[in-house]
Amino acid sequence: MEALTFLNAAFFGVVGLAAGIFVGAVPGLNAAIGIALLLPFTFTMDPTVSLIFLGAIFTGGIYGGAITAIIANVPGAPSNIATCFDGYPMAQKGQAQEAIYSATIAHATGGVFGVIALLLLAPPLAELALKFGPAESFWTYMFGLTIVASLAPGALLKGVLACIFGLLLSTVGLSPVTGIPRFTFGAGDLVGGVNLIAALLGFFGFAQGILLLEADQAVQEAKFRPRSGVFTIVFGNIFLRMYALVLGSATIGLIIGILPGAGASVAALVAYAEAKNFSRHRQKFGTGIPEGVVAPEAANSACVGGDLIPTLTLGIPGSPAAAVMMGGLIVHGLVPGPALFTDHASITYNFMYGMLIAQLLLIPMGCFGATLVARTLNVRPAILGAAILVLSVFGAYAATSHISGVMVMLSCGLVTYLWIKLDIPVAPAVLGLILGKGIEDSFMTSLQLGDASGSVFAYFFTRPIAVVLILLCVASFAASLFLEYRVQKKSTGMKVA
Amino acid sequence: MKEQSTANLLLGLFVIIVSVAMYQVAETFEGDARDRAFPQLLLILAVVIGVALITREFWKTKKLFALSWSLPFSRRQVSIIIVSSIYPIAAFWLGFYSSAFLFLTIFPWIILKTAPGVSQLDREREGLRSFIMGMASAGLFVGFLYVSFWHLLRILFPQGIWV
Repeated sequence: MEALTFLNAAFFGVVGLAAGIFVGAVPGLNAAIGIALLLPFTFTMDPTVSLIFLGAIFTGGIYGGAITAIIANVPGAPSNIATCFDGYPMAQKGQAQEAIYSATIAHATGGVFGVIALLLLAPPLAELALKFGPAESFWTYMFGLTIVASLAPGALLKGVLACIFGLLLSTVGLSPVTGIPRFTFGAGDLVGGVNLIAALLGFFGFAQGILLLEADQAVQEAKFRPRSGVFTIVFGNIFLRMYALVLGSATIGLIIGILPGAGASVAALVAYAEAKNFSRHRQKFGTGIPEGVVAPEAANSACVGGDLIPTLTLGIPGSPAAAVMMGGLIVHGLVPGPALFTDHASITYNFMYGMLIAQLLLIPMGCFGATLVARTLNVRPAILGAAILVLSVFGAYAATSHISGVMVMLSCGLVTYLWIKLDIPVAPAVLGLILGKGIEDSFMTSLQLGDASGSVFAYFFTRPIAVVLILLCVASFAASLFLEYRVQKKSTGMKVA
Repeated sequence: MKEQSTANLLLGLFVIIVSVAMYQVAETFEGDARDRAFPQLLLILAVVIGVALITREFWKTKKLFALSWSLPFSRRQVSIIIVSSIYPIAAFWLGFYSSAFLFLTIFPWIILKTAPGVSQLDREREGLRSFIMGMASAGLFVGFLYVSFWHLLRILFPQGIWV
């Protein structure tokens, strides 16, 4: 990397991390929303710098909520729910600083573990993906779609519906087969398709802005005053006494991150439960012990690296944040898949090294910026909501330089708002929009190649890698149905009780 | 719960009607069958999901006459949605920066909720404080947008009536 680019990357890495921590700390916002809102600022950036910036927002966004979870029992994002269990009781005992430092150091360590795994596992997986033909690509995309149920627990039908909406949105514009315009209704601006950034800003920014305006309430007073000398004690405690817990939790986070669908919140909850099960003093969990903070934070952070493995190598985003991150790659002309590791290897590796540095930077920024982060709870939701609406409008226009971008953003935003009211999850729609073009392209090419080779059926269903992928699809879908059944059963049980 | 069932029923019906209409639109595409295949397949799936939603709601509610037909939106929510939807369009007439400043200053102030039992004087004081805070944060935020988009990214926005 050139010196100037390096300095730029370092600067935007720090800015992205700070923005991510802020977004993660504010209740109602999360990493996906942060990436979507700040994506328009990367248009003129060098792709490497831009990806490092977005990656830093992702990292900070998963972490930020830990601070508010500990200080005020308000998890900024779902990934920090488990951190509340012991973090808040620690704060009530006057150990808020110890809890925040434990969370930060564990988060950074888990994050480094996740990114190292990404560096080691992504290249061989990308090499395997190079052997994929159109049929294998089609089944890989279908595998990506089977995570819909995981993105919509308890609402499988609505999740599938949202996914179909996203897939249909991806068909707007020129047909990949003969190049005729589809669903443009005479609007020339839609010939190029639905602008991804404008749609993402609608899905994640505009709707969330309205919700924050609606939920306007009195601000909470959150104060935190650090003492000196605590960092060294906590640091020593984690690396000498809790290293096995950190590694175990990070491994859980990594595995859950690689599996499409189950995100950082699931990883944190599973790691917390496992830490409790394996602990010699499990009865103390929930009363305010550092182990209860370290386990979920190490896991949700390692999940980021795991999440990026299928995203970068196969083009299958494992979580909403990874899906938006993938949108960021596409905007810069980088199509996720094996080509990232061959044609754009330097950008990809610099991005991964940047993620590694971002994890390390979390320690000083998280520990010494906690006082500032705690103040995010003092921000009035209505002002934040209005600012998000304004940013969405500016971003949508910047993405298209035309009113059509704002209209796409507005339409997607209003649809998403209605969906939230009807309990329809938005993440499957984003997944459909991002994967749609790839699915149609690979399906049509496979049909043509199958026809040319004599048997479409054989081309789709009998190639060895395709068979493995079909089995994975079936297993993933069955697991999703099982999950749906369990959620329904649990909710019925709760209603009866 | 009843409202949710009604909403789901309406959603199912809406999905079926829109999907059938869009299917007909897809029929009018100029290209060959391959151009229509993928979207039409998706629309057929959407109809199936719509039917499944309706069937499930009928199955769950059992008593059809028990359905409630009220929509879960308060007057405050509706006004927030309307103003939020008008703002992006108004930005093209008023100019992006000036409309953003006005929106950020006035809207959070208008929708300010005060706790019940607060005296008129305290309410007015809180309103004034909210207005000043809103204006200050709007100034800072619009300044940030101006510096970022205009000076750093060189992206021009419509200036509306200020041209």
